[in-house]
Amino acid sequence: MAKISDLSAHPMKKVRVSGRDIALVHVGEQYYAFDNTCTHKGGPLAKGELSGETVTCPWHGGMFDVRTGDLLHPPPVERLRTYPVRITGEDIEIEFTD
Amino acid sequence: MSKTPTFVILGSSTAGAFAAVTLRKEGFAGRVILIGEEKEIPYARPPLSKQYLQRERERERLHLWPNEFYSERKIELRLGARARRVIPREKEIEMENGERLRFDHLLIATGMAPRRLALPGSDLPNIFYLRTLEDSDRIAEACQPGSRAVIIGGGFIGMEVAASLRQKQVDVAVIHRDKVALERAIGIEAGRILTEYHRQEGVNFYPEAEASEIEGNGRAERLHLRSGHSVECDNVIVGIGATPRIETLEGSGIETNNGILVDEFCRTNIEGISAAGDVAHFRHPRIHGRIHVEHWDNARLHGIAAANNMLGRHIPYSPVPFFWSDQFDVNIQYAGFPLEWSKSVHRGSTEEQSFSAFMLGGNKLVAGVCFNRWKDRRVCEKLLSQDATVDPAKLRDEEFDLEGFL
Repeated sequence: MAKISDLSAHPMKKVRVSGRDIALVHVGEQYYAFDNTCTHKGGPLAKGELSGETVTCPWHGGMFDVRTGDLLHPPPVERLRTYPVRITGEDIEIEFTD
Repeated sequence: MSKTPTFVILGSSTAGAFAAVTLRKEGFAGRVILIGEEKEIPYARPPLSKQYLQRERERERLHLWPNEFYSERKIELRLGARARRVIPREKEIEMENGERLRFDHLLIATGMAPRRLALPGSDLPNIFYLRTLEDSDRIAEACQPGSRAVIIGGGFIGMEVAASLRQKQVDVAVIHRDKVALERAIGIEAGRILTEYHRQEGVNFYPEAEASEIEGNGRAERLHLRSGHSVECDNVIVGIGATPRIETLEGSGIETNNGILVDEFCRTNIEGISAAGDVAHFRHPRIHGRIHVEHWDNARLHGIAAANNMLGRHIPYSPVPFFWSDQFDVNIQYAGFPLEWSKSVHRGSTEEQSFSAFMLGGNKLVAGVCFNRWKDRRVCEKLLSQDATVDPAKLRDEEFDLEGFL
């Protein structure tokens, strides 16, 4: 859980929810949530670069689509897990399915 | 083409799976049948020599997509199924069980098979090859901490397996033919530096060596080299290259030469039959010739390109080849063409394991190999895609930000 205002200064932020590190991003009108941990070697994605809907890992430059978790550039080969996001007033809520 | 065309993909490989998924993503409404020899749903092979071999990654995580992803998209998986031959005239594939599958368009993405040793003793049971999940499982099971593994071949498979087993406290020796390991893939200087890292971690090397015989009582116990030396071992892992899987094409009329010959639109010489991934020898618009790339990212992108072209998009496939490797704490990334180069320029520090070597032909960049420096690789990829001219002095100068070239 986070506030919309948390993403106003920087469009990408790590939050800890239920013991998991989740990256939250703000792109255009949309908010997306995905595992903060790169599937290659565990690089912290929220500390990487965000360009449009693409996040680049700061450790080895792996790239993912923040909307779908699809891989866009190795060295990661595994997709990134994404989570549905709901906006309620000022709150950003992340839905876990398990 | 019939009203609801059937697209058959032979090979549940990275190229095959990405092609199938792309067909659906791009709105193809006909049948999509993905045939795979392995029973496993499509998975990523790169971790098989790295994290998966080290038992640091669960099997399920290797799957490119979960099982239901395919059924939701009506991609028909035929796994554990083997094709006997492709019959272009009938637009059919004959399966090993005698079934005949009709296709309107066929994509061949059968990949490669490890090249086999042909030496006295090659058939002993504890000699392993690495291509599939099961292969990786077998190697991990056999090579317990404290055991001795001899690796034949100093290419990527050999070096990655060496690093992974060494990190599991296996005693590792690598025997290879060139002066240094990976010489042909990344150049002699980069290969020498990487070999040095391996040595510091305790890997033994037998350079410019060739095995002549494997000896043992019911299992491989000793490897004899042509030089007269011998190496004691508990297991042997062989990584001496791979050959294209084209045996089902015999007599089909599909042209092959070190793989299936395709143009920049992934088409073979026969209408309605395409090929992608490791098995394809493709025409590259940028280099006026054919190349053959046996790396994961090419399989992925080639599969996507093939699917788009099967849908009539006519988009030439013109990638800057990219590959990477992880060995101990070193991440190596390579971008570039397998072309002649006349000089190489270095940037960074080999002691700190942070450097890049750029290969040039004149003032044109041909390729770059980057050790723990992915940002250099990114610049390299962009420069290569623009066919840019660079000043070698600036490439070398750490004060100069490479992004300044762009």
